[in-house]
Amino acid sequence: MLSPTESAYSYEPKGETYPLSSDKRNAWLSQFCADTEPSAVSYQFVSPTKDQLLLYQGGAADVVVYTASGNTIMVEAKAVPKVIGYYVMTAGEKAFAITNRGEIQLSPTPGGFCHFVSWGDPRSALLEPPTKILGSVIDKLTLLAFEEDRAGKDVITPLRSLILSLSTELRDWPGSYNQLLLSGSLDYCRSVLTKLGRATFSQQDEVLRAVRDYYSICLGIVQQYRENKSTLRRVDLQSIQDRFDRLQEVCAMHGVYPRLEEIDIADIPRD
Amino acid sequence: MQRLACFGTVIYDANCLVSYCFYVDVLVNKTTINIDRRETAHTRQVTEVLKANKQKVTTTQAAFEEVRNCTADAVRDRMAYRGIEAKLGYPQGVNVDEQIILKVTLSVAKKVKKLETNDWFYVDSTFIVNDNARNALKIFFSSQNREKFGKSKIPSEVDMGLINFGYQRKWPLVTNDRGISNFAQPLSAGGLAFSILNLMEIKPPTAQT
Repeated sequence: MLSPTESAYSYEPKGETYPLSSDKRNAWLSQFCADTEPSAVSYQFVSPTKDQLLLYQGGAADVVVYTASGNTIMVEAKAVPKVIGYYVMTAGEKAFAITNRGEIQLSPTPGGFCHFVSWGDPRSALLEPPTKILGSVIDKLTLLAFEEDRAGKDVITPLRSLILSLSTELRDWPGSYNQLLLSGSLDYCRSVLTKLGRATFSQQDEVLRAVRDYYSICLGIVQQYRENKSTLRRVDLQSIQDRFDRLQEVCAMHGVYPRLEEIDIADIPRD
Repeated sequence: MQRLACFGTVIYDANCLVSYCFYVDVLVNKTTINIDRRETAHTRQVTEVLKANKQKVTTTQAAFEEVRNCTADAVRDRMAYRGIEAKLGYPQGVNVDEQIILKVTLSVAKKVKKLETNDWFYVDSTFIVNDNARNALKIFFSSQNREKFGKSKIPSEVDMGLINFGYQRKWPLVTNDRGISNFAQPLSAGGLAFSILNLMEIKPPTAQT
């Protein structure tokens, strides 16, 4: 059943389309499921840009919504069956789904796909990047078992492996400035993570978050143009270049890895 | 060089601009290694003469917008040379890192962008290609034997715009692209182009005998 808030839109069971009203052009819809042990799991959905979030329960789980106001929704799934599902909608640029087992960033690319960054479990690399924005959910996003606790766990290796995979894929795309910007900057990220993995830096989390955010943006672009690679050369990716500049600043500021401009080839860590 | 001397303005294609700006320092074990293109020194010599003669260099908006892609292609191409790989300390069979290719590309692209701050260079944003001329150029190039293009591609719409730009303004077009310069004579004879010169065939005064 549609809630009053949902009534401006409509949605159908998975596999069908979700027409949205035109006044919510930036709205996006994502579905994910959690394949967890049958135990209580709580989720907090947050939109850092303070945009209102809407939550629809998509499965038969016994879900309790604690608070659903403004940019935060707290939910608890009690006695979770094998799979639970939610549909989350926001008009904003990004939202996070945070659980005690990990977190997901759901970031839409205008006109394209939301994408999914999981954290902490190498198996997450196997996840299908899921969500289709602006009205249709084409795939389900499965949240496999997250690590119980991020502290002390290797969160670098899986991310590094995802980045390497994306960078390698991009090298086979038709050559252009944008293609090189993406593959080269991801190669830079790979080196940053290798450096992070070899030593402890005081602001490791900040650097890690910056790399992860940057990767998720690149992934969104790749997903958007994967079916039409040759058009990438004509796209304005100045905002990505600016993001990459900021990422370099963060890495250099914390002494993890120099800016590209200042890099010495001897600085590049070899596997 | 004399063939350019009587013109107040000379047109460069994107490739010439990239060649002019393609000199980048890369650090290798704290030693600075300069990377350039084979055409760089020559392009700079020719351009210095033009500058000394108070001549201007220009290009079309469309060509200038292609410069970044042209830069990426040129850098990737150059960095694949074994000589460059070795100069940068990469062992045989190991490609230059993507981040280094990006570093060099960003550096060249930055220099190209800065060209606009020079009084001897400007981008002509007022030019509008003549549709009839463009169609005639398309027909001309599509009717040519593929072998005549050598390793070059068939000229793009942007290239055809540059040819028509030269024709409309009566300024010489300087290009590195054999796919254009190989056809200079028939294009000119057919009333489709003004003067087209291959950059590497222009002899700066110091190189003249």
